[in-house]
Amino acid sequence: MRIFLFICFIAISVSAAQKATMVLQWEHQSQFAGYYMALEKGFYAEEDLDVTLVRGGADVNPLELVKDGKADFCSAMLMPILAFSKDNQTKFCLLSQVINRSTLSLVAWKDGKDGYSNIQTPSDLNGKTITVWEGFADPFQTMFNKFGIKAKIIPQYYSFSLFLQRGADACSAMLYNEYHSLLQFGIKKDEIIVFDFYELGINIPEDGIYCLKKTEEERPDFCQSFAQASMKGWAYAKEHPEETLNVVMKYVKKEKLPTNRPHMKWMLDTILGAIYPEKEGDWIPGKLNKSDFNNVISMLKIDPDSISYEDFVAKEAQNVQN
Amino acid sequence: MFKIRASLFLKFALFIFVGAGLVLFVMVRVNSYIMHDILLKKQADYYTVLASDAAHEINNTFSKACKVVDEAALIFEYQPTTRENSTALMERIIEHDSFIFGSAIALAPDSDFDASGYQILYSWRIDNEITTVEREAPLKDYQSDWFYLPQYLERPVWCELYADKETDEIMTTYSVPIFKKGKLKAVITCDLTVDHIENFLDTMKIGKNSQPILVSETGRLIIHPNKDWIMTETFYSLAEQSTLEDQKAQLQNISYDIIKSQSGMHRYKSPSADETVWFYFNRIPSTGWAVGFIVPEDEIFAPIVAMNKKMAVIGVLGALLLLIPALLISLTITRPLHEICNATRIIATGDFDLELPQTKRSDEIGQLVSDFDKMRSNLKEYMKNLATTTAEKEKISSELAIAEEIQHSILPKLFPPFPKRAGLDIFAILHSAREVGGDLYDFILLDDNHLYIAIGDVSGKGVPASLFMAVGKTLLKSTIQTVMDPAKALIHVNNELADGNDSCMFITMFCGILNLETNELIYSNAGHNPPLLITKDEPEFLPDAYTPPLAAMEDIEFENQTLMLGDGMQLLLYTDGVTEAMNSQEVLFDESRLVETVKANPTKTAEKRISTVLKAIREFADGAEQYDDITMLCVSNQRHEEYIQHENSPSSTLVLTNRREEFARMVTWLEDVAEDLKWDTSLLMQLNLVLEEWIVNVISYAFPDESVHEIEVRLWHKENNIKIEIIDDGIPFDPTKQDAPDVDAPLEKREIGGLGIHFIKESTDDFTYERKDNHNIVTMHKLTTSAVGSDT
Repeated sequence: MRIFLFICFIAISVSAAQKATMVLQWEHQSQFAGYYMALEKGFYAEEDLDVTLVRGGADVNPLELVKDGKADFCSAMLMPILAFSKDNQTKFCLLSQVINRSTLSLVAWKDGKDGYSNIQTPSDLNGKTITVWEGFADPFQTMFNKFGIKAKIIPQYYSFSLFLQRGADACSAMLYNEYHSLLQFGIKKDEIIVFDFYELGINIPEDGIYCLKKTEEERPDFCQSFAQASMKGWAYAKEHPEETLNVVMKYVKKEKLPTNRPHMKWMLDTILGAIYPEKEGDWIPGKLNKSDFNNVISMLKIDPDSISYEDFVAKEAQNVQN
Repeated sequence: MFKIRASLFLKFALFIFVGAGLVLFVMVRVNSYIMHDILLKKQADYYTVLASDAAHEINNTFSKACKVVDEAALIFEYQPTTRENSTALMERIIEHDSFIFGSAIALAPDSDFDASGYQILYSWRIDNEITTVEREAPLKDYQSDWFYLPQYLERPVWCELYADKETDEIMTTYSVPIFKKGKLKAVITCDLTVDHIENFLDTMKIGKNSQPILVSETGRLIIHPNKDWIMTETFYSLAEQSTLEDQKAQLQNISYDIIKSQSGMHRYKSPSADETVWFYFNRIPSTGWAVGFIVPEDEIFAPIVAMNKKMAVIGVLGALLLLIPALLISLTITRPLHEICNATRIIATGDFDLELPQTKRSDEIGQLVSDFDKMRSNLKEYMKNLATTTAEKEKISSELAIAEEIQHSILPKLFPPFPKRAGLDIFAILHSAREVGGDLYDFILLDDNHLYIAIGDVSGKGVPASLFMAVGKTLLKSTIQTVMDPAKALIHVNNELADGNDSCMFITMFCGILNLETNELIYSNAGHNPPLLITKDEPEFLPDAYTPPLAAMEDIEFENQTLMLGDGMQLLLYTDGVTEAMNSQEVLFDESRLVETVKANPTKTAEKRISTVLKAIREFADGAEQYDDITMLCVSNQRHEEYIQHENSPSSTLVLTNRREEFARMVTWLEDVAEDLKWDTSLLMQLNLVLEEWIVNVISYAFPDESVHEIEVRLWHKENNIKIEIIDDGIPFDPTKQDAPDVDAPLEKREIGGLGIHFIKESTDDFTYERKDNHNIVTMHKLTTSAVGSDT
C-alpha cells in the first residue's frame, strides 16, 4: 500500500512538470542545437519543464501556432516577428535574443565565365538580377541604398535553384546554410563572392526565443525558466560541439532530411559564432541590443510609439549580464 | 671431394635461382607496367562508352516524358482551361509511361480561377488508379521550384530531385511554362520516379564489383552503393569528412568536375571501403545529372595479378628444371678438377714423374689438364737444369774463395808490423772484389834502416790473376832483398815474368826503399798509379813514370827516383780500385775525390788516413758492388830529434790509433824516449804503467763507434819535471772528477777504471783534465830526483 502511494507520489510529481511546446522556425538542423541539448541533457527537466520541440518548415508557421496558443514558445528572427506583430496586432515578448550577429548575406557569381556576371564589389550588383527572401526585403533595400544599387529583384523562396541555373546573378543566403550548400554542390569558393551584411555594417539580430506577451505576463517564471534552460543548452553545445552534432544528426536522420554531417557541422560552428562573440563586448549573448532593435524598427517603418523596447523585451532579457 | 662439388653446385644453383629470379622479376614488372596501362585504357574506353550509353538511354527515356508534357502544354495553350480538359490532359500524361507518377497543372496566380473552375490541380497514380485533387495551399506551390523556376527562367525545367515523403520514392519534376502573349498562363508538370533508372543501370553494369552511380545537378548522390549517402551526401561533403589529404583532394576535384564536365574519369580512394576505385561518368543532357560507374582498381588489375601468379609458378618450375643441368655441369667440372687437385698434392712432394689422367676434352677443363701436364714436365726440366747450374756455381765460388785465400795469405797483415819502431807508422788494406782481382801490397824491413814497400795490380781476375800476383810479389821481394835497388829489382822481375808469359798477363807495380835514418825514399814505378805524397794534410801526386807494367815485354829499363819523406809527411800508395771505384750511376771516384778526401780529413796516423779514404769510397759507392780490389798502403816515419826545435816543443810525440795492438808502439816509443833522456828504469816502469793505464782506458771506453780515432801522446822533460799530455777525440771524460775508489771493496763491486785512475793520481805529482775543441786532454806531471834531460 505504501509502495503504491509512493509510486503515485512520484507519478504526481512527474506529471507536475509543466508542459511546454517550442516551435522551431525550420526543419531540424544545427540552427536549433541548443534546444536539443537542453532537452537531451535535462536542463528543461531541471526547471521542471516537460518540453516538446516541434519542427518548422515550409508547411509550418511558428508564429501562427504561438498566436493560436498551440505552442508556448517559438524560435523566430527579430524582423519577421516585428512584421508579423504589426500585421496581426499580436504582442510577442522576446525572452532571449539568441543570435545577435546577423548571418544574412548575399552570394553572387564572380567567375564571369560564359558571359555570366563578374561581381567583385557590392556596387557591381547594379543592374543585376537578385533573388531576395520576402521577409528580408528591407535589409536588402538598406544595403542597396547604401551602395546605390538598382537591381532587378525576384522573390526567393525555399531554394536557390534560380541562382544555380544562372537565372539570377545573386541570391540571398544565410552564412550558416545556403553558402555552404553551394560549396557542397561543387561550386568552387572562387566562383562566388559573399557579401556579409554584418561586415557591411547592416546588423539585424536573428533568432530569439519568443512567447506571447500575455504568457510572459501571466507565467513569468515559466517563461524565464524555459529561456534560461535553453541558453544553458546553447552553452553546453558550445562546449561539446561533437556530442551536439551527434544529437543534431539523430534529429536529421529521423526526419530523413536531405543533409549531411559536414553541413550540420558548418551550421553549428557558424551559429555558435553568431551567438557567442569572438571578442568580448561585441554583444552580450541573450540580450537584444536596444540600438539594433531601434534600427530594425526604423528599417521596417514601424511607428516607434506603437512598440517599445521595454515592452517587447522581457525584463530579464534586458538586463542580461555577461 | 664432396665439399668441392657441393659448393660448386650450390653456387651454380644460386646463380641460376638469382638469375632466373631477376629475369622473372623484371618480366613481371615490365609486364605489369605494360598491362597496367593497357588495362586502364581498355577499361576507360569501355566504361566511358558505357556511361555515355547509359546517359543517352536515360535521356531518351526522359525525353519521351518531356515530349508528352511539351505536347500537353501545346494542347493546353489552345484549349479552354476547364477542369475537365486539364484533368484529361494530366491523365494522358500519367498514362503515357509507368514511371510517370503524377502531373500538375497550375494556373498563373493572376488567372481567372472562377472561369476555369480550379487554381492548381494535381493527379497521381494510386494502385493503377489516377486520382486528381485541387491543391490546398496554392501560395506555397507558386513558391516551389516546379512553378517558380519555369516562371522566371521562361523555359521548361527539370527540378531538383527530392524524396517524396509519402511514397518514400526519389522523384523529379519536369515543368513546362505556358506563356500567352508573353505572359505566364500556367505551368504543367509531370513527376517521375527514378527507381527504374537504378534497375536499368543494374542491367548495364559489368564486372562483379562495378557499381552504378547517379548524381543530381547539384552534385547530390541519388544512386550509390552506399545507401546512407543517397540524397544527403555530395562528393564535396564526403571530401569534408575525409581525414586523408589526398582523398580529400580527389573527392573535391570530382565534386567540381561532376557538375560541369560532359564526361570524366577519376581515380580516388573510396571513403566507404578500403580500396582505390575508378569512376567514369557522363552527363545526361536533358536533366543535367551525371550517370556513371565506379570500378574497384583491384578488379581492373585482377588479370595482371592472375598472370603474375602464373608467371611466378612457371619461373620457379623453370629454375628447378635448370638445377638438373647445373648439377650435371658441376659434376663434369669437379671430377677432373679433383683429379688435378690430387696430382698437385703429389707433385708438391717433388714427384714430377707422376702421369696425369688423360682427357679427350677440348674445353677449358681439357686445356687445364694439358697445361698442367706441360707445367709438370717444364718443372721437371727446370729442376734438372737447376741442379746442374747450382753445381757449376758452387765450383766457381769455391775457385774464387781459393783465389782470395791465395791473395790474402801472402800479404803481411799484422799491424803495427814493427812495434819496436815507434816512429814508423805503416798501415795497409786489401779489400777483394767479388771476382778477385790481382792486387797486392808488400813491405818488409830489409835491414835496421831500410824499409821496402810495394803495391801492385795484376791484369785479369780470379785464380790465374791471384797466382800471377803471388809469383810477382814473391819474386820482387826476394830480388830486392838481394839487389837492394828498386829499379834493378823491377828490371829483373820483368824479365823473369815476361819470359814464357803465355797468358799475356802483366803487373803494374810501384816499389821503393825508405831509409829510416835519412827518410830518403828511393822508388821505381812500373806502370802503376802515381802515389800521393801528403805533407801536413796537403796531398800531391808523384810524377807519372810513363813506364810499361811488368811482364808485358822483356828488357825494359826502369829507373830509380828519390824523395824525402820528412817528419809529418805520409806516402799513400793505392791501386786503381780506389780511383776507379764506381757508384750506381757508374761515376768514378777518381783522383780529384781522393785528393779532396785527404784534404778534408787531417790525420797523423796511417791507419786513420786509409780508413777515411775507405769511408769516403764507401759513401760514394752507396752500396754499389765494386768490380776491382781496393788496395792502399800508407807509410810515415818520425824521428824524435826534429821535434826538439823550440823551447816549448815537446821532447817527443807519438800518435796512436785506437787499436790495442798499437799499444806495443807506445811501449817502444817510451823506451826510446827513456833511453834518449836517460831515465832510470824505475821511472820508465812507473810512467809506462801510468800511460798504459790511461791509454787502455781511452781505447776501451772513449770511442763507442767503430771508426779509427787517434790518440796523441806528447812528452816534455825539462830539468826535473816530466810533463805528459794525452789527447783524444773520444766522448768527454774527466778522470779528476772520479771519486776515489773503495780500495777495500771486493773486486767485483769496484767501478771499471776506477782503480787505474786512482793509481795514476797516486803515481804522478799532478794530474789535470781539460776539454778543448771536442778533445779530452789529460796532463800529468812527474818530478824526477835528478835534473836530467834535453837541456843537459
